[in-house]
Amino acid sequence: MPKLSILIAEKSYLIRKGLVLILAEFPQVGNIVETDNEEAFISLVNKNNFQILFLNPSFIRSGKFHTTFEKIPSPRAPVLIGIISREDNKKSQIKFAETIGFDENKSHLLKKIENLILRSSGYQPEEEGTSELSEREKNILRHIALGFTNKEIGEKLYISAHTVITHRKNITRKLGIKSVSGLTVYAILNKIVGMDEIRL
Amino acid sequence: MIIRQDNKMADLIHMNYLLISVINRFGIDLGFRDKTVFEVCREHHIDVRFFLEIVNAFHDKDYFPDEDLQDFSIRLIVDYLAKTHRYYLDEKIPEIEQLIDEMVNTCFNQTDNLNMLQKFFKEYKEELAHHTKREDEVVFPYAIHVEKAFTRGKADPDLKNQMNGYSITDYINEHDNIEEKLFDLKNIIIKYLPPPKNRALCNKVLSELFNLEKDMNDHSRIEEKVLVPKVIVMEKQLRKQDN
Ligand SMILES: [Fe+2]
Ligand SMILES: [Fe+2]
Repeated sequence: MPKLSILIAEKSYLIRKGLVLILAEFPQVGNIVETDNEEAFISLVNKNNFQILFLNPSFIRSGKFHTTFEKIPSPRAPVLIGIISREDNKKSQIKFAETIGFDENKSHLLKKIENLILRSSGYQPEEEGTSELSEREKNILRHIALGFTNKEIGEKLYISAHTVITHRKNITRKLGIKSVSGLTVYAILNKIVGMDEIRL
Repeated sequence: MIIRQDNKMADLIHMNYLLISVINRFGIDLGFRDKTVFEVCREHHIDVRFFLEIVNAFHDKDYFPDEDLQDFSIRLIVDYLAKTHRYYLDEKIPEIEQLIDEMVNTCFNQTDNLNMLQKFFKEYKEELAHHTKREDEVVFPYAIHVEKAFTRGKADPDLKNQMNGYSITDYINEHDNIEEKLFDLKNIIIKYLPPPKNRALCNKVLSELFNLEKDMNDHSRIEEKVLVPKVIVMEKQLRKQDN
């Protein structure tokens, strides 16, 4: 699962930093971008693909928000979280999927954010537990360690290069190892490939 | 917190001890007594604004310098970056390499077959040497060349040619991530090695890897967020004069 990309649009440095600190503790969270002005915000939303957007609505002065935001095709649209109190939210024109307020207590707030992140990252409890490689993945890993390219592996195993790439991504995610030589070390340690079969 | 020139140098280290290696690269050694950043920099003939920029960027990765703090020269940045390369290749990498040798030879059974860890690290060392060599020999001289022309107010034909063939934008596009393999190595040690006989040594290797990774992250950030934007501005100006 690719990591979540999050945008925080909030004028207050204090609140931004607090949110960043909390969010950064989740392994599912990748990139966190902060902005404190409306212009930058609009161009960020247009150019990037955020999955979660924390927004303080008082931040938006012009009517540009709606026009910008509504133009984003729906599968790409981020989940909108308001940084706003319950009271103010009733008056707000923007529909938030969830709000976080300044007066919430610690455990309540953290629970909300955790749920939000788990939902947005497509968390499936059964799947997450198994970081074990499948037999198929082991076989692909073996070929990676032997130095074959995606195309060659595809040809040998009768699958498309595209499928090989998907498997590789899964292997990297499961193991936490990105480079070919790192994967090779893993393969040797786990006797998926013999030391004498390869040259590092 | 933002580090300022009237802070005590000793307090910087208390706040973030990893700054020691940054400070060393400026040629400053420990034993500052109660001297402030300003005083220590003056003693060592270091541009204090540049020093502040570097330590702040290291300490807080979201640190954005004020525009007027950014008027130090490209030569200063490049000098610092090149010194950092030497620090990696001549000090840190050999040190870690030795620790890994020791770890492989004494922490595990011979049958565990861990010498591929040594090979892995050797390969990484070569990759890093290649990366830094390209920067030292191509990118940095080019940046200095651009700055010289910029101060002179005119690009010579030689530089014009270069700017057309290779600009700093090409560098940033091909600038690869030198921390990736360190990340892998950390994970291999944390998750996949058999239990070590000498725990302390293994932990030491790991903490060295974490520190180096942090240092390199900061280094790349200075290359990408401080050096490159400055060069881009100058390239633009020089190109404008051409038309
Ligand atoms: Fe570098
Ligand atoms: Fe670099």
